[in-house]
Amino acid sequence: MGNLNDGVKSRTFDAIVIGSGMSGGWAAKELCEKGLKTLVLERGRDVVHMKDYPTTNMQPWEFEHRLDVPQAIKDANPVVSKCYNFREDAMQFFVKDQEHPYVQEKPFDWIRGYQVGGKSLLWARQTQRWSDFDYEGPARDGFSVDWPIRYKDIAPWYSHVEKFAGISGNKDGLAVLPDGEFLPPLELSCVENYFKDFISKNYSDRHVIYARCAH
Amino acid sequence: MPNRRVAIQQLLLIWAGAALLPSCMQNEQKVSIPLKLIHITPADENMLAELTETILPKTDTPGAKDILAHLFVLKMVDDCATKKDQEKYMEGMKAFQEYVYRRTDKTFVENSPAERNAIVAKMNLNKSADDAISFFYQGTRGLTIEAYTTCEYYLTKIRGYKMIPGKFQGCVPIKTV
Repeated sequence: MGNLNDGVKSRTFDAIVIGSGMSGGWAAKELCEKGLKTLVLERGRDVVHMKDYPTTNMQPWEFEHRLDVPQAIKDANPVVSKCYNFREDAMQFFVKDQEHPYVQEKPFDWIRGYQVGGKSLLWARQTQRWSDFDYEGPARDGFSVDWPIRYKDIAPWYSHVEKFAGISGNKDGLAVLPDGEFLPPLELSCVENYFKDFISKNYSDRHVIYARCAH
Repeated sequence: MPNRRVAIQQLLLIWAGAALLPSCMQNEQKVSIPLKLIHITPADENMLAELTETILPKTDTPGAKDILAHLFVLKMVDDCATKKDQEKYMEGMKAFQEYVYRRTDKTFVENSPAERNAIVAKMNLNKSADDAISFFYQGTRGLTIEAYTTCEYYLTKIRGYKMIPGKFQGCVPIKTV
């Protein structure tokens, strides 16, 4: 009977996280770090570094269609092929339309990735902080329910995440895009530099910056 | 004996015919890559190869033919174009060849490189999207450039492509590269 009790104990958790995507993965990490015994449930397969990234080490010219998606695959996947990232190098991480069809009463593109990490394997790594212009927006313009928080409440959490993930960018000092804990960004290209200069000469209220981006 | 001679002749004819027939059919199908949806002849393929070479000729660097740009063009049209675009492309390919023949009394391939250049220069002026010839030409041109600028030679020898963590330099004068 002792064994049975051990079994119950080993199957009892302080927290259960459903889904290991961007939110679930973070939640599980935070809970574990706070000492909670955490169970993560993920419907998809495991993705082992290197082994399960079949395209990572491919050279650009090795892609048969140079990242384009063959028309037959687009025709079979009208929803998921709308996603900008549904390309020859990442298609394998998306749920195909026929695998899990759903009813659309109103148009809704449900882009899904069933694997450990979920869609965090499939994002463009853009990480702009919201400002109070955003948090006050619904109340100010009356288009939706007021946010229960303001920028000052979330700012430390932005920092918390940025320090862990590694976010690159410049401290641009813009009220609409608050600065954060940034690593040095890559350089702008010649054309981007030209565009930035041109805009700054002609507009005082428009800014061309290097977007804040996760490494 | 005459009967035997006739019989042998007939046999030979059948035998020769049988040997000839598959080789004829093979010639009809001898395109360098398997295509699923579009159908072209070896002559079409050859024309396309010369057209891409006229667009991006061999100089002190390889030309379009060296990197098999025409096969990339065919593959992309066959795999990645919509049915409507495939039909328009093939219609344009035919119309382009007819146009060249009407204008020069020769096929594109029979024209000299200088004459081919003149044809392509004229094609570059016509950007109408409705026109099948222009659709064929502009599509071929775009895919030829894509084939070239994504090929191993161009990326490693011209652009100096380095795998991550190769240093990223955003803006450098071309002369220093």
